[in-house]
Amino acid sequence: MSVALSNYAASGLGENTAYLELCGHGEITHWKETKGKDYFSDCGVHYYPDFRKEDIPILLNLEYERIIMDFGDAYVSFREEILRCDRKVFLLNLNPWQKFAAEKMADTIQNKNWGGIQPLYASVNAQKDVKEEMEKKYKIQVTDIFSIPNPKRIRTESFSCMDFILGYSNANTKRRKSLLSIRRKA
Amino acid sequence: MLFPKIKEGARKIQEVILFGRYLVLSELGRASGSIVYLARHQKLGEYRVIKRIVKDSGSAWKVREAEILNHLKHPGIPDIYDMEEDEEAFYIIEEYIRGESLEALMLQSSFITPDFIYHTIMEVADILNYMHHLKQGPVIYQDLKSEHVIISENGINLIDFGIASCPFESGNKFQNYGTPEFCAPEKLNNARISVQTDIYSIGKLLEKLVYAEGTKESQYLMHIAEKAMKPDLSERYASVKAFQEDLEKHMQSKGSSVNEKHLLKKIIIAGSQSRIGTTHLSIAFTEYLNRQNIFAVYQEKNSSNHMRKFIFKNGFTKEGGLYRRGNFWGMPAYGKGIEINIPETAVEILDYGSNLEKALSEKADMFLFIMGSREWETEYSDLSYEKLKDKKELTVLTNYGAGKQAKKYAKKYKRSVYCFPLDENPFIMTKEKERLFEGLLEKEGKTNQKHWNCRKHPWMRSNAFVRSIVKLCRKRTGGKHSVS
Repeated sequence: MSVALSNYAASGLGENTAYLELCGHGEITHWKETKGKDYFSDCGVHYYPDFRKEDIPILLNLEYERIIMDFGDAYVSFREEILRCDRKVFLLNLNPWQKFAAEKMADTIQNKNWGGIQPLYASVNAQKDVKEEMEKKYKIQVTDIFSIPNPKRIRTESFSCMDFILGYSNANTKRRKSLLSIRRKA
Repeated sequence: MLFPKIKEGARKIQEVILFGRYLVLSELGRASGSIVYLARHQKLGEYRVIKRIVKDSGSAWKVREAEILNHLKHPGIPDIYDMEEDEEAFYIIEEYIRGESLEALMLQSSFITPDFIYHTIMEVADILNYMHHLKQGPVIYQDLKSEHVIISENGINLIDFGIASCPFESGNKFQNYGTPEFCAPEKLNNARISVQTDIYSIGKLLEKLVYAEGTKESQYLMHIAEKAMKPDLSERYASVKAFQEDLEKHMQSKGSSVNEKHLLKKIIIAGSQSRIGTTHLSIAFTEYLNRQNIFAVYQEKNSSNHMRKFIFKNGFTKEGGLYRRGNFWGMPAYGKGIEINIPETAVEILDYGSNLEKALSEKADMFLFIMGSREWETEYSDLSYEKLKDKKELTVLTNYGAGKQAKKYAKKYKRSVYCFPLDENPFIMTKEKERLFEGLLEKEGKTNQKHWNCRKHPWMRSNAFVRSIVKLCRKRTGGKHSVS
């Protein structure tokens, strides 16, 4: 998802984008060689493999318009960085055998130490009942998102989803006013 | 039932219901002794064409159209549904073919390529071939012309079989009918007509299309047209099949891709230097084409990001990766990480800004090169023009309505140079811009006139007095004459 978002930001929105691998898995380290630099480029995105936490402020001062930080399952140790981010997205895996991890994540984030943030919780192909149970239990909203078949080639169908996750969602476009008045439940 | 007289104007045509089921909507055309109406079947809601033939001494022969149509079953020929009669006239109720006539298409735009000509002529020939090989004997259409060729969603259709005849039955009663421009010499000389009469007309149609296309590319088709139009019957193609075979052979020998069905698909716009107005021209051209019901999509192919910023800030709606506002459809410069499918039917307008190298590496049907009109910009223009001058699809323009500079460039480069008018808003279509784009879509090879300014008609270059006289003349003569 992080790679897809980075690609969309760079290729779709035309932003100078950096992707930081902070989860420590070293997955993108083997993707391409950095050739003496800190990063390698692909489709306009600068990928920083195995990036160190203490170097994040340096990157914030470079001319990037969008920095996507992939914390993976190491989010706990990056609390301060996550709290500083403009947009906080937590992907929940709601498969029965992974649900415990999702619950643990929701528990952690709702802890006082996390400053009562309300991030965007998202889930791919979640079962409806499981999702509803999670929402009820933690009083959160879990957004359904579609899986991206190829994160390096974003199709137009995924644009609205990407916009939504990146918080770009048609903010600058005209919206037609509904002819029907909206009634809110008391 | 008596049909109201339209000329009197007292009764509205919309009020007429024929035979209790056809609501007459409008008049489509008139010919000698007959009027064609568009009507709607009230119960079925389907459109029909009703041909009203006034009863006179020769009307019985004109009604033969219904009998002939009844025998013809071909997707390119309208079906006949019914025939009615009242005290004054006969009524033939036929299928309504929704589309544009070839004549209108040729007048409206120059989206005519050799491939388009090939496909159109081949389809018309298919219909004629069918008519010439009926079991009962050949039916000679006799009235083939661009107005009678309708391009619809389902392909090419022929309409108006009013003077079609079966020579084997009782000779030809329509010897003197038809459009002189398309009439074979034997028809004019009162000689016997045959299938070769139609071959002459299709040759004439081919010739007209080649002239409309206007480039050298389709000139080789002229040999076929000339053979089809030979006055001597022994030199003319003996059958439509022979004509088609020759056409196919020529097309293959020229290596044209017959599968690519028409037209202008890709237009490149580049400028001699930055801030010269390529984006302005591209937007205006996209706007114009979409207004003409030709789906066009603007694509930002330069690194300026102007369009992206503009799109994101100015209330465009997003539809499948494309951005829309009014008639304009655009696409910002997407990177490699995006997979976007532009509809196949769309004309792509690629704005390369001042990146000539990149623009040159792309193939296109039309290459618009816009040059600066200021004195200090001419050096850049000359340098850039040197790089592009050999490009076959090149069309040169100047910006800011600088007609004089365009004329200077035209003299210097010895070619037509158009002038993009001084313009405030590319999203608003002005008459000047419309004239320019009409002119651009006309092929340069058609006339020797130098398009050094954006005015289309020669008479419009004259002074205000002459223009008013011309207007007056046009009014009096029903707009048929113009001063050149």
